[in-house]
Amino acid sequence: MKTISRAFSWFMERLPEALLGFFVLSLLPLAYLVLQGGWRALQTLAQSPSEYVHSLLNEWPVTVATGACLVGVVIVMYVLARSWTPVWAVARKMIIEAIHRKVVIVLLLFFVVLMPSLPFLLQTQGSVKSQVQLVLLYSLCLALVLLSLLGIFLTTSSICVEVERKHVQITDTKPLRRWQFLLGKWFGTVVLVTAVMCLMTAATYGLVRYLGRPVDYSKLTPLEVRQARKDEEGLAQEVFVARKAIPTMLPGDSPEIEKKLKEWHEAFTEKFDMPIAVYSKRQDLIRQNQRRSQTALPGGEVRWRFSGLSPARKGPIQVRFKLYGHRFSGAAGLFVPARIKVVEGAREGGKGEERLVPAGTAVLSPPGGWLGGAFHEFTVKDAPIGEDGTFYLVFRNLERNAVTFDIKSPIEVLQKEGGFLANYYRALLVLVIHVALLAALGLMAGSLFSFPVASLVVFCLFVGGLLGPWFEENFVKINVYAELTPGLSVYLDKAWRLFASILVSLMPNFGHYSPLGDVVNGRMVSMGDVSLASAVLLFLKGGVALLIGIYFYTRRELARIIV
Amino acid sequence: MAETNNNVLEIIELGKVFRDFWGRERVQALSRLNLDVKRGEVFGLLGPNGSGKTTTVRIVLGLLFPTSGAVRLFGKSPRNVDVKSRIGYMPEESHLYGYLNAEETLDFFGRLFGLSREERRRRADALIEMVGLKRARRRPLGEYSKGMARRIGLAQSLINDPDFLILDEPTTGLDPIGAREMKDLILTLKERGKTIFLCSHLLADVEDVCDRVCILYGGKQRAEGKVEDLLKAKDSTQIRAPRLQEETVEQIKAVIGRALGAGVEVEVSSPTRRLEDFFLEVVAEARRERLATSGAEMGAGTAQFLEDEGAKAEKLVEELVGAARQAELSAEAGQSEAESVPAMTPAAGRGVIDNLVKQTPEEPDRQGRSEPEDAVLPETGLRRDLLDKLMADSQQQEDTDEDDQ
Repeated sequence: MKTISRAFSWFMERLPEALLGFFVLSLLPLAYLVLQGGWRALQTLAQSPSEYVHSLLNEWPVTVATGACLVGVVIVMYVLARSWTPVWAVARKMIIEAIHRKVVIVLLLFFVVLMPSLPFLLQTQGSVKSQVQLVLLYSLCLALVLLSLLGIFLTTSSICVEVERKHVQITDTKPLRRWQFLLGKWFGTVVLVTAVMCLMTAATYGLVRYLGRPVDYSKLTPLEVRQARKDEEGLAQEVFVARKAIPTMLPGDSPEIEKKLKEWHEAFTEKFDMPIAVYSKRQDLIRQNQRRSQTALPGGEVRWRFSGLSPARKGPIQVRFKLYGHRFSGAAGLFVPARIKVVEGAREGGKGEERLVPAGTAVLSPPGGWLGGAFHEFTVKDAPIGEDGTFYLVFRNLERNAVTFDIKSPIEVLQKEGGFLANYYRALLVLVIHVALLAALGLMAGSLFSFPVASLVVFCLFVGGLLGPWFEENFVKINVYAELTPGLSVYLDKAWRLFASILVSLMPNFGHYSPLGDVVNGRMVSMGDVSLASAVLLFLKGGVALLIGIYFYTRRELARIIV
Repeated sequence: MAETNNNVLEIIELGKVFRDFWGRERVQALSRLNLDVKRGEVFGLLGPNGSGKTTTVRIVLGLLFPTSGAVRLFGKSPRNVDVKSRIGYMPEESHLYGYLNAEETLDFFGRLFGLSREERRRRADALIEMVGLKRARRRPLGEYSKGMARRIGLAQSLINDPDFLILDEPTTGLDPIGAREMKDLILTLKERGKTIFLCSHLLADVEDVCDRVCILYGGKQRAEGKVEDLLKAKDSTQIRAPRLQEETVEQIKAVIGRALGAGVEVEVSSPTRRLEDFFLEVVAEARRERLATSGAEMGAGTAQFLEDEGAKAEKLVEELVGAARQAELSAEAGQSEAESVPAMTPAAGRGVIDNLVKQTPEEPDRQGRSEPEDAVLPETGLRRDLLDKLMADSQQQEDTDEDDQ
């Protein structure tokens, strides 16, 4: 018993350093991916500098985010290197504190019990693919929620409890700057959360790989073999893969729309003799136009052009789409891959005319048609991708009614870009970034409020962040006052839009940067996505939150007597 | 302000007002306080509860900000990190982390001072032994009694071997032995040239150790100066002598009466012992009887890294001389007339040590259990391991002397 106790003490003494080592190891693949990306960029630059500059400008948000991340990483590493001893001392104590409080153990136990039971809880009527997708989604959601709560609880309670129990009255008399104290708390939380996240996601990875394991065909009936082969193919092509998604470009604002808007505005003011905001009307007109462009009348067709595919990559591509309509009514139709053919002399003057001609195998809707309101995916095995990376697709409506494609989730093509493991790792990075932001918010709130209030504030921000896209869609992009009080709406509209925009930009907006949907559907979570999430969530919002926390904490009388 | 003068701490016109949430003035905790603490002195801040002692300490530590005036520690702001690396602070109550044990606590604070791993371990071991928590070193601090928590609080304040030690009510929560050890430690640190600033409302503690004191009341300075100057009763004289016959007392009274004139009141009485001395004697008795205690043990002197070699040697000699004096007094208990104590020689010292070892209880343990390593010998408080080392040193010295001859 004594030996066990000693072994436990020995293990606990070294656990923070072990977790730090684990943290560094978990970042090594990131370093590899960054170096790989840098090498590719150099190769492109060497081959065609103008093309490289063009691509940088074309994807300027990613370029700016990558630059910001590099600067941010350098600053963080410099600060950590300069103040490593005190920062690590605080971080180390933070880890010991979390372990002693048994929060981590409880969360891990909760996950360990719940995660393996997910396949039984989430029994689907459909294929193995859907079950794997569900388990993957729910496990990652569970890990994210649990670790977010852990991050919020640890940081807010740690600061507040240290102040309330007067621990800081000793710690603050040591040669430790207050910003080092907060940075240490943040770093300790990030190290701990990363380690636990790695454990949880590794367990999830193992489980989904087990669920999607190859089947022994010898024991199956021919019908089951057929289904199993289909499942395997579906898993390989749609789940255990990283596919680049290229959505169709929907029409935006145009001179025609502006003309219509002007006519409508003049008619309205003439009739009611009062000013009115035109924002929501413009959005209505744009949406109408987009819907029209995505509608195939009976016997008619819709054409799409997707650019940016890689012509060098051989293999099938997938098309993913969603139809408007009732879930129980199917729409029949035919998707036809196409290519441009120049017909010589068709026009006067001898100049060739470009025509779309069928190229490749057409895909017919299944019996009963494609159901509305749900996502559908089909594979184009011999996709005619042009040398410029363009792919054309035509949909022919075989229904007696019009068929409209969703404009909120427009039709897209997916091309394999990499493996599942690297994609999963990048998604894991984004999840860690989410929790790191929450830890920074927790420290900020802990510096300002007492424990339960601080936790509640960060929890509200967390929920608000998850609902960010919904909030933006429903409260920012529409004019809530226009229909009610046209006279007052111009000013209210402007004030509301300003307020809501500021609110949305201040929110963590996790929903916008969430990688869960992508990784579950085998879509690429690119390094650009990771850069954007890091730059916006970690370095900008997290950095600002930490700076606010430091500002207030350094100006706080830690032994203040509340009179 | 650079560290040019001899002052470690300077408090200039310090004022502190506590306000409520709305900024309204509620309490004037300090008003125009002026103090300076010189290098190498023990300075005491006295005052009843609510007089502003702790507020002063907290401002000196940078935990509170002054409303007016200024505080300079080593000529710099108290919030300066270089300054903080030179100070040690033991708060009134132990505000340490309950989930850490003594080792982890000292390791954590040692890390904040940038001490190396070996140095942290060495100092933690020495301090834990010094404060008598060797057996409780792996127990979480949350399980400690108040006195034990105070002891580890003291240990953490010494982890950096500070130049300036701030002690807030240092003896509160300590038993009389702990309180005595604390006062001994303060004096030892003073001998090493450390500056100590303590605040207390226990006047006896302050009187025992402080060079200078300042008395606060209602946030204002009421008196300041050297302890002996403040306590000296300039209008009376005290004579101390062995017990006198009644007639002799009367003769003395008559002489004083003639010198000062009739009507002057002269008081003659037997001096009483201090309660602290009496208590320590009772505890020493209990230790002789080997009563077990589950709490903190008697501290093991001052941590080695806090003592220089000279001070350590001096202390050994003092202990040896004290032990010799006590042993000889015991041996000659029958004689009414006390003789002067002879100068200590190595041979005499060895004799004394032999005597002391013989004086251990005749039947220490019938069940054959071995004595604890850090067992304390009766009467002296001297540790057996220390004595063994001393005897070995003496033997070595004697052998060397014989070789020389």
